[in-house]
Amino acid sequence: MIKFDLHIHSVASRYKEGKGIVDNSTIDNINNLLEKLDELEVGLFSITDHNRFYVELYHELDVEIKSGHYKNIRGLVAGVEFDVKMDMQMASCHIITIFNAQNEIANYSKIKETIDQYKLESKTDSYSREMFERILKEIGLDVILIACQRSGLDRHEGKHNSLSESTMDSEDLIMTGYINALEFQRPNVEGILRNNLKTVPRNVMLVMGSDCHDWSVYPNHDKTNGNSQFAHSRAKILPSFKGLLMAVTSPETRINQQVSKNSSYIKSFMIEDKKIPLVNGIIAIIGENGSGKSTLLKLLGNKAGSPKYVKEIVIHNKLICEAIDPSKLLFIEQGAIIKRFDNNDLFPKENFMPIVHDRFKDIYNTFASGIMNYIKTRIKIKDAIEQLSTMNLEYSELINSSTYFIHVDTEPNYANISNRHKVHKEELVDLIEKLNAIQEDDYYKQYKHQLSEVIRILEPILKDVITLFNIVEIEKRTKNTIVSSLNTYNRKIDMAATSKENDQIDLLRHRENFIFHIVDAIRQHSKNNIFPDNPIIVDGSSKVPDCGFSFNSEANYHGKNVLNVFLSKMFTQNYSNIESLKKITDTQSLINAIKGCTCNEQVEEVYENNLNSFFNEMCTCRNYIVDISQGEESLGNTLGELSLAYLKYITENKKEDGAFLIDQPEDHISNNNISKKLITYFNSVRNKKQIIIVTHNPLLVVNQDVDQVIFVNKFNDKIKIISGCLEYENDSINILELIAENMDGGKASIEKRLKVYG
Amino acid sequence: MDKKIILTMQDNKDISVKVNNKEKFIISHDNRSINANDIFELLEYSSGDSYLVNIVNEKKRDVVVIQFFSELLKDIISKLSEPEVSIDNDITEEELPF
Repeated sequence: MIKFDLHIHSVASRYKEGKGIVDNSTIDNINNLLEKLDELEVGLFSITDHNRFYVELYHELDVEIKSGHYKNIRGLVAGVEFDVKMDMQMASCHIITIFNAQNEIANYSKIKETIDQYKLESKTDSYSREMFERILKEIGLDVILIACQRSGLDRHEGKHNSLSESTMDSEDLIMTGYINALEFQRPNVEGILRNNLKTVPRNVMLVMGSDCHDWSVYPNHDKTNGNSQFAHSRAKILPSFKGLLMAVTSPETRINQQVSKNSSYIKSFMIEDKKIPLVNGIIAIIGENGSGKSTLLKLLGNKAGSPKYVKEIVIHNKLICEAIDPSKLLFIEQGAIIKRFDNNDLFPKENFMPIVHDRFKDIYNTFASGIMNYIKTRIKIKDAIEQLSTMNLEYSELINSSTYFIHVDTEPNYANISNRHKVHKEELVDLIEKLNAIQEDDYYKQYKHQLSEVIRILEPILKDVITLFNIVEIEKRTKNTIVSSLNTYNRKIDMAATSKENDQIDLLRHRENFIFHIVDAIRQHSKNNIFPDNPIIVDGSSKVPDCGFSFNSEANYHGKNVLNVFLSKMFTQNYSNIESLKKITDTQSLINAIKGCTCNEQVEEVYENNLNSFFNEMCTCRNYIVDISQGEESLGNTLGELSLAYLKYITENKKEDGAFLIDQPEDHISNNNISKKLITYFNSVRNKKQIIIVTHNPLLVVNQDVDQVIFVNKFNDKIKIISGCLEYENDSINILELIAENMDGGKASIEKRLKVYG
Repeated sequence: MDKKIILTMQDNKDISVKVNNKEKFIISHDNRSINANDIFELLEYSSGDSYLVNIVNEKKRDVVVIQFFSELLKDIISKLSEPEVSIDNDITEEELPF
């Protein structure tokens, strides 16, 4: 990370400045400036005079920097601050133009000569846009244009030489890449500009320049005009024009970035006794297939012990890497994601919370039994009434005859008593048992007293219910004993009685039976037989938020009216509606109505099976993942989408410091999603983790703006490593060229990133 | 609803059965039998209904017969007014007979 200042004037700006404020900013005093820059650790700077270029000054500065006297000053780029009227009807603006002069005198001279050819003499003069472009074309060097902007882009009036005061289309000029960066001088303006640029679909570099005219008071403007709020802009670049180019094309990763807080990273590895340092950021390992990229990644991930061929390459090339704490290392080898996808364990299963279906099942159990009771009651009523038509009672004189034996009968249902307290007794027993268990659970430790109190209140209720239950049970036993005794007694009478007496007994029994059936039919008919209400819609879902995702589980019945599904599962087509069910009054219709039922004996069993089949279908849960940052839309189930989600999840999941090594993260992910999402994920953690990827995808190198590229090449099992940041170049190495030549689509990616400068 | 059932012995010994003066059926003098469904329809029972059964037999013909059917109706009405389950819920365990 270096500090830079691309806006410093020299005596060459004298024609435009009054009061002699630049008179001492001369070649003779360059040490004044360099000392200040060195002291403030400014690594890269430019002398950008008003519409002038001072060749000799640049030459002297180059000599001084090369001398190494100023260890913190590492680069000088050529620049001029032009006065340009973008729109001739408006005011002029200042455009700091940085040239790719490569510190060569010939280039410096070309800049000066061209400017002198179109020299502005009066301090109020300015170039038209056409003239400005003509000068740049004639100079013929690559340029970066930084427009001065002293207030918001919506301000078009004033005398601050801002871009927006010179054109109504400043956003367009920025959007199209004509203007590469904006320079502000007050921190509050940075905030205003960021807000203005929200709608511009590219990141724009915002930098601060000192606009120093008097070197003796650097970084202030001059002796009378200070700027206490000035702070140097910082960039993660090499101190060169190419470095600036990288910053301009990826300000979000290069400009004013925080230093990584990660303390657990792989610092270097050795190959053939040569140390290759590794940065604490994003590293891309590139190279042809079979060049040893994955081997190197395995080495860094402390996984190079197997397979055998990897081990042999490591030994043969004397590859050594000091392992870091395994708990700080996350290694995803090639194919690992697809393997996990195939095994359906890409995400931890426990992230999906199981859904409890009890409520849903209770509701539909009650509904199903309600329907069955309703129909059976109707059948019973109809049967009872129909039976009456066949029953006659005829007067007989026997009724009045005297008899020796007294026949005693009971009503047919005399001993047939259901104990309605049974279910309540069981409920309370369960409840108290559950409360006793909860009371012992550590989770409820602080509520132990209250729970104990609840049990204390419930116990007398249970006692009462048990008493009532026992009374009915005793009554049942007693009545059964009576019936049994009477049966024995009646059998004895039947045996001892005369034929006439037996006829009389028969008559009496028939009369009792006759009465019983009429009363029973009337009672059945008078009962309030109500079809159960439609079941309510029930929630059956769970959501577990984790690492920016929501792991959702949803039962098929969740939030839906599944009555029709229930009816179609339970009943045949003709009866799969409530109105038809309400009309059933005979057993055969009931058999016909229940799906899969063929006889009366099967009714209960098939009905229950159908209900279970309905439950099985409805309680099947769909697990899905929602990327919370993308709204409520669920992720797709394709390998690509889930791979992407997995990488995001895993990068978020490991909160602590460490290194994250992935072999070909681009596998199965579309270039569109790599550009839009994967790069964003990696950027979000690049200052927290060291990320080392093996990749064949130039997007993950060029667009990702990796901090370090490691090019791996192999000849006769000997691995050769070339390493450097994207903009690194020397006499024999040019990292961008390596990418262009060795990665499919590499050249296109670089051109696309840099096209605005072409 | 109050329902008045009157069994009237007619001169030909047919027994006319009326409810609130509306004749429902006749028990013929040559077939002294009654159908259960006729009684069901005769009573047209709704919850809260009360019945009064009377005999009209001025000439005292076949008294035991009309009495037989009258008693039958009274027994049915009596059964209808009985609760279906009768349990004394106020008994405590200590008061149980067993």
